[in-house]
Amino acid sequence: MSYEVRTAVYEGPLDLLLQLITSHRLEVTELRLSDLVTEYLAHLDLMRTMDLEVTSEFLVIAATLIQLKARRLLPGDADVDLDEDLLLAEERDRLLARLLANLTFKDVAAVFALRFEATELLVAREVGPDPGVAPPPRDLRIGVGSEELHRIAERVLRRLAAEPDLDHLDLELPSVSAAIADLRRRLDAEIETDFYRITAHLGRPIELVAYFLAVLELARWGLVEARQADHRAPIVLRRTTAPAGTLVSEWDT
Amino acid sequence: MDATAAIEAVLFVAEEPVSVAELSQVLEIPPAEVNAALRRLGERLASGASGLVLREAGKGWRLYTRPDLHPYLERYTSSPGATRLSRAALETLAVVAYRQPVSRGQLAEIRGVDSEQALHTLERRGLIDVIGTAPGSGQALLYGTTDLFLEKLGLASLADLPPLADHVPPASVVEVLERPFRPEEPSSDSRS
Repeated sequence: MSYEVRTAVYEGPLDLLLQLITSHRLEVTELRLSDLVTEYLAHLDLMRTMDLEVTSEFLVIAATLIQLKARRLLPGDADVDLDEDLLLAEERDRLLARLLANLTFKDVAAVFALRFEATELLVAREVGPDPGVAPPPRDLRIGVGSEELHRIAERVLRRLAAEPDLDHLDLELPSVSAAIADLRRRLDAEIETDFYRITAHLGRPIELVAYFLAVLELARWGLVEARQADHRAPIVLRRTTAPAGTLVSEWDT
Repeated sequence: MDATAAIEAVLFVAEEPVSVAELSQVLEIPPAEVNAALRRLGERLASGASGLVLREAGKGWRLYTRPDLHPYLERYTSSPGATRLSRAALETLAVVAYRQPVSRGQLAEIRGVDSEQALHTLERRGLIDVIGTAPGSGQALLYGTTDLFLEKLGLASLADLPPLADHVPPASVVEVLERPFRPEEPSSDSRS
């Protein structure tokens, strides 16, 4: 007997089995297991010829079906292992349960689809980014009238027109060696301090950089121990006992 | 203060459904009065010539545009309308809704097929989310539905999901399913 294999649309082996079984629903003669197995395997063949991947799930269920069919072919009084028989019955019940669950959720899915259809025509305002990700900025108040705004604009434009001002350019770079010397002196006075306290007297950012490099250098020599609990915590500096010998810094030139 | 108007104003700017408790807190009136005001607002919108409807969805109340006006909105935003979920995505969503928290493996057991693609789609649409990991060595991701899922489905809580028992196939279908697996009767025609 040959089977006409329709290229049905199915998703996975359970879906295929359900479609095979229900397509015979209206027939007068009962669908027999052997026919079901033949049809199922014919579909796997078709999948292979169409270069579709026959996943292991398809094969696992094929194996169960073939086992069930093989058991049928044995005469009723054949000497069969009862344990194996029981396992096979369990396998069959599990397959049936999976088919039922699958069908149940298919039905639920259809209900969901109807409900989504009913709500998709209702549109609500969708505003801004997810409040959990970025809180919306506070309402901005400009706080100045148009006259004040005009004055500000004039001031800015005047500044633009003026001669370039070079006063803010700082061409005098601080020395790291001097910073190291100063740090060592200050650390001699107190055993433990932190970077903010010890640089509180500095005015310019570039000096801070020099002092930071100095700390790294002192830490490298083992003269200072630097600790920081987390990236925002103060950098705690602690003087250690000085090793013997003269130290040469690469900053000394 | 006109509670009905105040609620309308709050819901106008709200980005998600607002619960009665929240409205009660904002308006500083007891929940019973909020409910009464919500009812008045709903009636006013329904009876008047408003383009908005008041609806309870998800965790509270929200204003929506009237469904019959949707064609104009589509033209205004020149959007091709909402994209429908695929059958696979809908089935996956159904299993997640009733079996949450659920892993990909448990989904495969019921659907007979891996649902990774469908899970991605549903996660991107905000209908499901990873809500934990399974205990044990595997640490499989566990999925559950979101508040947006409730809102889109028009449910107030998961308890309002239709009982699963209502969707179990009827006896006649079960009979058809079981038929090939029943032992063949001796009186039936010869074995092939």
